[in-house]
Amino acid sequence: MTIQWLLPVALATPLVALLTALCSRLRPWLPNLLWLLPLPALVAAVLALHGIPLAFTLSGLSFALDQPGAMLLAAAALLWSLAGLAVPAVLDQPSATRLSLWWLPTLAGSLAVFGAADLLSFYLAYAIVGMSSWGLIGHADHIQARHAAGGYLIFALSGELCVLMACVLLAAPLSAQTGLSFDAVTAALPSSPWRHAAVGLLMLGLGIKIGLVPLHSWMPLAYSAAPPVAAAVIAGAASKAGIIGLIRLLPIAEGLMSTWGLMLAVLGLVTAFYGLLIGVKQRQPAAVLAYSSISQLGLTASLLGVGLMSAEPLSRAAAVFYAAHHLLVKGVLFLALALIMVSGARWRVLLGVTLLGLSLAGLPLTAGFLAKLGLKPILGDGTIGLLASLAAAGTTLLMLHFVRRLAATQPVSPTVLAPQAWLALGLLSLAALIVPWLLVPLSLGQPMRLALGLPVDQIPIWNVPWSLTRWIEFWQQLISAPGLGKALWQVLWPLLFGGLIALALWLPPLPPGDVLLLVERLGLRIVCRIGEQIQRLEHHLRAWPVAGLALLGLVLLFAVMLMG
Amino acid sequence: MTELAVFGGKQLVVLALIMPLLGALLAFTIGGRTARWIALLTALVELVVVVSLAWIVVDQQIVVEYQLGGWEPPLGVRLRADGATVLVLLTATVVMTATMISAHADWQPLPDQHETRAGLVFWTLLPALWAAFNTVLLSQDLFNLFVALEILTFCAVPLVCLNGKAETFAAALRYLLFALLGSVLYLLGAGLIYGLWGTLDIGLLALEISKLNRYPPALSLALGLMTAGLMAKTAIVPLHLWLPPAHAGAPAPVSAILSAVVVKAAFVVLLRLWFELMPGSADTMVAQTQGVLGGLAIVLGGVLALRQSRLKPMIAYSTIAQMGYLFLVFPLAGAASAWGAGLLHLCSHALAKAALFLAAGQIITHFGDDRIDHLAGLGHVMPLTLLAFGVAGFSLMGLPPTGGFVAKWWLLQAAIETGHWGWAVPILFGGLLTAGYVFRVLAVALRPAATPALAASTVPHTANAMILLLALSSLLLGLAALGTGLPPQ
Repeated sequence: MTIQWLLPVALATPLVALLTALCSRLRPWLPNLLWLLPLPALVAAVLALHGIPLAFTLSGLSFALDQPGAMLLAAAALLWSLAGLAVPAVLDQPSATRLSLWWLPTLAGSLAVFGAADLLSFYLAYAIVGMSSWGLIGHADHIQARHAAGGYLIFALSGELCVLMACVLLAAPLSAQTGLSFDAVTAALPSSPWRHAAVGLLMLGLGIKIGLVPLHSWMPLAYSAAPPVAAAVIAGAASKAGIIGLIRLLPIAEGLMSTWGLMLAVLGLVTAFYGLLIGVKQRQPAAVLAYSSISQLGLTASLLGVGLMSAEPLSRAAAVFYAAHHLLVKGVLFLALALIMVSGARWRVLLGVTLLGLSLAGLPLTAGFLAKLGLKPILGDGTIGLLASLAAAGTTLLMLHFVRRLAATQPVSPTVLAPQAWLALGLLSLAALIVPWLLVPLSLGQPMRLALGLPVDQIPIWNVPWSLTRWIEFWQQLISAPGLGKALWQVLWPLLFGGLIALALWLPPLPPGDVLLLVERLGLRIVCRIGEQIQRLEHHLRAWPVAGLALLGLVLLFAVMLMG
Repeated sequence: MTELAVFGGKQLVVLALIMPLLGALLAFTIGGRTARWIALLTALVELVVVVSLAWIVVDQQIVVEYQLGGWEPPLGVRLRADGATVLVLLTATVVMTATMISAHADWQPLPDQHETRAGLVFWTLLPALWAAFNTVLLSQDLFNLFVALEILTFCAVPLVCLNGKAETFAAALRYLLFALLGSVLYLLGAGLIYGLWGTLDIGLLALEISKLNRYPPALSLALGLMTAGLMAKTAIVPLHLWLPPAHAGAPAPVSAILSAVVVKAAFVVLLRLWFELMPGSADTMVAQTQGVLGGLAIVLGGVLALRQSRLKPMIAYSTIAQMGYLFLVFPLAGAASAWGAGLLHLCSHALAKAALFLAAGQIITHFGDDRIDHLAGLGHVMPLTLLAFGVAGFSLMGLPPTGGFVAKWWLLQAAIETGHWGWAVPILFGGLLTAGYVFRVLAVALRPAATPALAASTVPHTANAMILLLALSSLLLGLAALGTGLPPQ
């Protein structure tokens, strides 16, 4: 196919751009180009979702875009592009240029990890994104940043070593004929004598990446030390390298690893609640978001754990969807923080942030509703399902806490941002709200269809492409879906519950007589304001010209009315 | 109209007009210290006359008519007293008498003085004003109504600036100018109507108008002019610029008469126009407009009353709001209870408002302060006055069983009956606002005083008795209305 050049070009673009940095003349231009570089990858991902197979192999490293990879790649490319657009606005020129030098390799690795089609290319991309993130985290020139970056490096290196070891063990049973493709890896794993070691190491290594308790402590430090705009791409896109690793390498469809699955599920749930509990006690907005990430990634991990336990292939689709949504939303939240730290809190931004934050908890009509819906058929209505619902309630609380902390954020010297920064934030917010809705008719949308009681394809196959007719058909089905009411309620009650807890926690100390006194305090002020306005109006009415004109007007009005 | 005029009734109608006029003339010519006693005596005689007239009309269920000099309309002028008229007449008489008695000790000349300017003006003009008001009530002739309204205004204006202060003088002038504007418009309208039919008798005109399929432009213009002119005199929002300074600035007895009686006169004429001259106009755009302005007045007056820091301006703004209720009668006229509700509201408001202003006057005189925030301890010093204030306030609020309650009840009934539910909103909301400003006063007044050294009440017993009488009359009116069962048809 003639379009096949697109994928290599897309993946290579950031690296080529990095080469231009060698030329000191071109280097200052880099920050302004950051938004352009992920666009080829975005186009490639969209084409892949549309059913055009894109793949290439370069000296034994094979890359290909299947639906899970393309979906995450599309979301990641969007985030990288729009965050890149904001970089020159929130950082000064030398700082932005310095950041770009780390931005580009992280971008390259982050995109490539979703396109990787075999063990080697995956590990390569995974290592690149992990290592170059270090530069982004340690970008700021102060002791906390250095401390955080150092901590991150130790964790990341250990994790990568574990993953490397796991990859080696995974590859061991494979022969040259079968190749190192993911399918071959997972197929060979159950019969491999090293399977427990491999899965254990894999979970350990990827667990560090996604911050599974107790391997999470680097994450809050790193995210609060990094420039928020960089934290947006790390927390949003780069952390998903761990998720895609679990999706690709865990032998979910094969089963036979239910102990590990149980362990992952429990660990994931513990992490989900741990992140929430610690998160609400954080004061720095970036730390709150970091703990939220820990919690969300924990939930995704437990989803895959349950899938592994019950050999449920649909759990992959649900996890991809959930991760893609989290990728976009977390990007928006960090980007909003980045902009507000420069220009000060604005209520419009806060309103949008609240909406996106609640999307993370599954607010109906937002994309998060779909993501939460996808969890239902996998986690079921039992204990795990209930725990996931409670986690959503906690997420509501945590997100409201974040908005509160964000509203209290005061920049040292508020400066006016270039409009492109706000444009980036707006576009990304829109994407986070809309893109998942566009993607749900894909085969990846099977869990949501299941949750809504809609007909599903017999065997979940990855290659039902996106098409307009399928999309319209989905909407028609959705409106009359038998399970819609139940699904809405299942997603809504944790939100209400979380909101209530937030309300209870943050109400100021109340005197007896609560509501009446609240009304007195708030309502009276409003009523007095209205009264003031009415008094002013009445003062004008009592002016001679007004009263005279009113008299004349009434005469004419009545005369005309009576004539009519 | 062939009516059953009783011998006694005709004389009483004429007497009801002539007595106060006679009192005014006598008080003016004799003057001095006697003026006060002449006025008070006039009031007592008038009370007897009006009560007798009311007794005849109600007891015998008749309408009393009298043609001056025996001339029939359109040449002559006709006087007419039906049930509604005598109710208003009686209310005005009670208010006037009670006010005069409660004010009998005011403006006393010093031992070496023959008379005081204020005293002479008050005791002369008040009976004259009364005569003018009675004329408004009893007249059936548009020009006669004009003359009566003019006399009413010219009597009221000097009373406003009785204390001779610059600001009350400005208020009086403002009142005069706006009232004259209203009169001019009314006169223009009356002239146009005279040009159309050569008569100004309401009964004859109603006959002519009922024959019309559609109003000629001159009649439309005339009605528009007269309605707007009269509305200016009733101080309906947005034509209320003159009322707050005049009613708040005048001496308390004068304020009581202005708010209770004088503003009602123009409204009575409006009722004449819209219910007698052109019955069945409830659904016209004009009636709706009047209702909207009434609703506006209820809200605006209520809010402004709440925001006043002094007692008398608060009561003055309350008048604006209460006048708003009266204007809701027009869009609700389709319902049987609307007319009765309007009438009852007019009367109970007159009684209650007079009580409020007189109480405020006593508070200013004997408590020395009418800032609402400074009223703490009032309940201890002047318990009876405060009680009267409270009862009158409850009637304004529309707490059962006061007249204000029954009137509001009937108005709400009318709103439901006509299907125009929307009018219930200002009716109810206005009650809320009224409760706000009444309770604001009561809450402060019932608090113990900051300085316990305040002397016990020195309010004359007669004054207290009269204020209480007015407030209780408003309450009794409600009981009586409830006793009749349904609103009058």
